[in-house]
Order: sequence, then C-alpha cells, then structure tokens
Amino acid sequence: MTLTSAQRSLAYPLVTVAALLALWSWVVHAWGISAHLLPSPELVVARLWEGLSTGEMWPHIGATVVATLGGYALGCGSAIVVAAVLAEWQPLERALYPLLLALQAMPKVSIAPLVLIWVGFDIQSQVILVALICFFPIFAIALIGLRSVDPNLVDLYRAFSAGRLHVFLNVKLPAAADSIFAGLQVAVVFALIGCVVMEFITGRKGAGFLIENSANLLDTPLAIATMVALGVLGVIGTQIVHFVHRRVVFWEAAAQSLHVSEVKGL
Amino acid sequence: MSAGERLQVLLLPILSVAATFALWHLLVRGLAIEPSVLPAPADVLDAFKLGLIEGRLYPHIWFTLRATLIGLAIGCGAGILLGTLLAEFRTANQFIFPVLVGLQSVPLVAIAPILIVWLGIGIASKIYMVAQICFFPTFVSTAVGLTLTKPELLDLYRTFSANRWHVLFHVKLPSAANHIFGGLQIAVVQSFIGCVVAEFIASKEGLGYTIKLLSGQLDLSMMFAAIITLSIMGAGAGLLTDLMHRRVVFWEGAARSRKTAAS
Repeated sequence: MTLTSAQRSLAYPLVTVAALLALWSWVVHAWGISAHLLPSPELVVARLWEGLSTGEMWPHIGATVVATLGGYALGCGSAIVVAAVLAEWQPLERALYPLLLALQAMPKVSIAPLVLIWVGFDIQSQVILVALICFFPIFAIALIGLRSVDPNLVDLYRAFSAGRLHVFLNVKLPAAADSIFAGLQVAVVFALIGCVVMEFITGRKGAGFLIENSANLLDTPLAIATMVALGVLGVIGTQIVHFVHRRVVFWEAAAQSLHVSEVKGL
Repeated sequence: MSAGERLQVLLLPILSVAATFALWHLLVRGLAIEPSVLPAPADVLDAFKLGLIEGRLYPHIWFTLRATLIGLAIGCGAGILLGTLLAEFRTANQFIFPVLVGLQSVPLVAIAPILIVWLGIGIASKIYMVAQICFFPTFVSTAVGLTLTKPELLDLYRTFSANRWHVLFHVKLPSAANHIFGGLQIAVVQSFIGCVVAEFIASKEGLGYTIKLLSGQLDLSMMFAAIITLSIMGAGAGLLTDLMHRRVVFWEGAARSRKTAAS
C-alpha cells in the first residue's frame, strides 16, 4: 500500500514521536532511572491523567490560560493600533523611534521582577508581562507590513479621491494582514512563555508555578506532565490563529507557516 | 528629502529622548516618589557608577556572558549541522522536520525548573537553556535556506560532475548563507532570555539572578542598571551578528541595502 503525500506528512512525524517515546521508556527501564530524575513516559501520562481527573491541575491551567489570553489580546491589540498611528503619521514615528528601539532591545522577561514590584502578585502582573512580550514583534511586523503596500495602488485610490481612512482600511490593512497574522501565530508561544516566566517569579498559581513547585518537591512526573499540558495549549493556540489566518486572509497562498519561526521577539 | 524633513529626522528623536528623561526626572522629584517605587534618572546613573565603574556587576556580567556565548555556540552549531543533514537526506527530513517545527509551538522555556533538577544550579543549566533557545531558529533557517538553491546552478555543477560535498560547500551553503544569518540573528537576540530565565529559577551568579535578588531588596536603581546592561549586551550582540552577516555574505549586500531602503 502506498501512502499519499498528505498521509505521509502526517504518518512520518508520528512514527518519529512513537520511536522517541519508546526509546525514552526503554532507557528509563533498562537503566533503572529514578522517577524523581526522569520518569518514564507511561508514568508521565498516568500523572497527567491523575492531575486532570482529580482536578489538581485545572486551577493552574485555567489561571495560565486566562492571563495569557488577556495579555495576548492587550499586547497584540495595542501593537496594531500603535503601528497604524505611526504608519499614518511619520513625524510621530521619527520622534518615538529611538525609544521604541531601546525598549525592543530590552529582553522583556528580564523585567519580570520589576513588573511584580509595580503591579503586585495577582493576575495583572502576568497580563502586563505577556502584553509587553507580544507588543514588539507584532508592532514591528505591522509597521513594516503597513508600509510595504504598493504605492501605485495608494495613488490609484487617491486619484479616485478616496479618504485616508478608506485607503487604510481597504488597501493598507489588507496588504499587511498576512504578515500580521504570521506574527500573531508566533506571539501565541511568546505569550505562554511570558506567562510561565511570570508565574515562576510570583510563585502563587498557574502552570509555571506548578512546574517549579513540583520540580522543587522532586515530583518530576507532575512537572513534565504540566509541560505536556502547556505544549498542548501552545499547539492548540497556534492552530486556532492559523485557522483564522487562512479564513481571514484567504487570498494569500499557504506558504507562510514555515517562516513564522523567523520573527524576532521576546 | 527636503531640508525641513532632514531637520525633522535629526531633531525629533533627540527631542523625544530628552523629553522622556526630563519627564521622568520631574515626575519622580515633583511627586516625591520613593526610589523603591521608581528611581530618578540620577539614581540610576549612580547605580551604573557603582555597578560598572566600581565593578559590582562585573562577576554577574561575566557569568551571563559566558553561559550565553557557550550556549549560543552549541545551539547554533547543532542547528546548522542538523539543518544541513536533514536538507541533504530528504527521507529523514520527512520524519524529523515536522516534529521539530511542531515543537516550536511548545513553550520550551517552561522546562527551566526541571533542568535545575537535572543539571544543578551551576552554569550547565544556563548553557543548556541558551542552546535550546538558539537551536530552533538556526535549524529552521538552515533547513529552509538550503532548499532555496537555484536548480539551474545545481544542474550546472552536476553536469561538470561535481560531487555532493563540493555542491554543498560551493553552491548550497553559499546560497543559504543569507537565510542562515537571518536565523542566527534571531538566535542571538533570544539567547540572553534563556540564560536570564534559568538564572531566575536558581543560580548563584548572573544578571538574571542579580535582578531577582535586588527586587527582593527593593533596590530598583541597581535593578534598572542591571536590566539596561543586559539590554546593551543583547543589542551589541545583535549588531555584531549583523556586521558579521554583511562581512561574510558580502555578495548579498546590494540586495540587502535595497530592501532596507524600501522598508
């Protein structure tokens, strides 16, 4: 039986994953590695099931999802608005450029303890850090996208005396939409990273807290199970953005997804 | 560009930076804000003097720099090597590439506390974190870059019966170099993040450790100094990579400058 290329692109990676899991399991059992150090994949799955079915993990996962979504919406939304304003009004862009450059150079996760001092332990600290982390990559992509519009098209619209808002909504925004969505897809992972790092620092609640706490208690199965849950969240989030991307920006070819890894950020 | 516009390009950034510092100073002094909430620019300058001239930050800068550079070398080296291997062996590529791309949707930084269990609180866990973060962008850019070789060029070399190594080193890698450097640039920018996160979790040294420790003491001036130092290190490393990019891939210079002019 020969597989079609679509079937192969699904089956081959699954074979790799299965082989890696088998190797992991074999190494743990053959060498008798302690579950505190490296639990077998079966044990991780069992711990994941236990954590989910007893409800032990849900409050933490819920906290992470809510904070990540809030920060993501705030960061990405404001980035697109600011990029639109700066793209439309060049003097402001020139004035703010050095400040934005300086802020962009700063590794955003490094200010996590500062955010904690300023806004406190609760969910707002996670939301702020996630928003900061999402802001810059989306801002940069949106600004470049909005400027990369075909000038002839803008001239054409102007010649038919289209207003500024009309040109923005009908020419510039559609031109930038594809790259903005590519950025939004990467930002999902950035957002999760920001949220988890903040939870490492605050140490109260959330998937990051759960990983750190269980690693400290040498409950390594739970730490790895939480990593797996975070991974699933990341994949689901990325896929949702990808799906919306294809629906909204239906006119661009599907070549984008490969290159999303090439977005600067954090 | 008209004369007025040129003046704008020159003056506006200077004005806005000056205004920011003035506003910052006036805000702190005018509202008498405690230095443990927001230090004045002068306080931060004092902290800089203490940290960089009297050298209180030196051991931490050295630790972070060492961990980042070693991790960067390992991660980028592994990324380029595996990317090249997978681009050369198409069948293996179909098995491995989708898995590695899928892993990019996973927030792998969250592994930091488990790494401390495995590798301890010393420099090894920091090096691993940096290497892991640097691996992915370099790997993807290499694997994708190597597929971008012009097919006519490959045919030409094959016609003259060039062997696989020759084609790889003389045709494929030079064609991919621009793309690979794009990945390296991202790896360099993100590398410091991996180190800082690992230092946040558990460490005895490093700028991330210092930032977290100072936050407990509410010494915000020194925290600002450490964060700004870290930013300068990141920006400096990024600029160095860009410089290297232009030097090594000198033949793409014209194309690059055209692109920047357009943007």
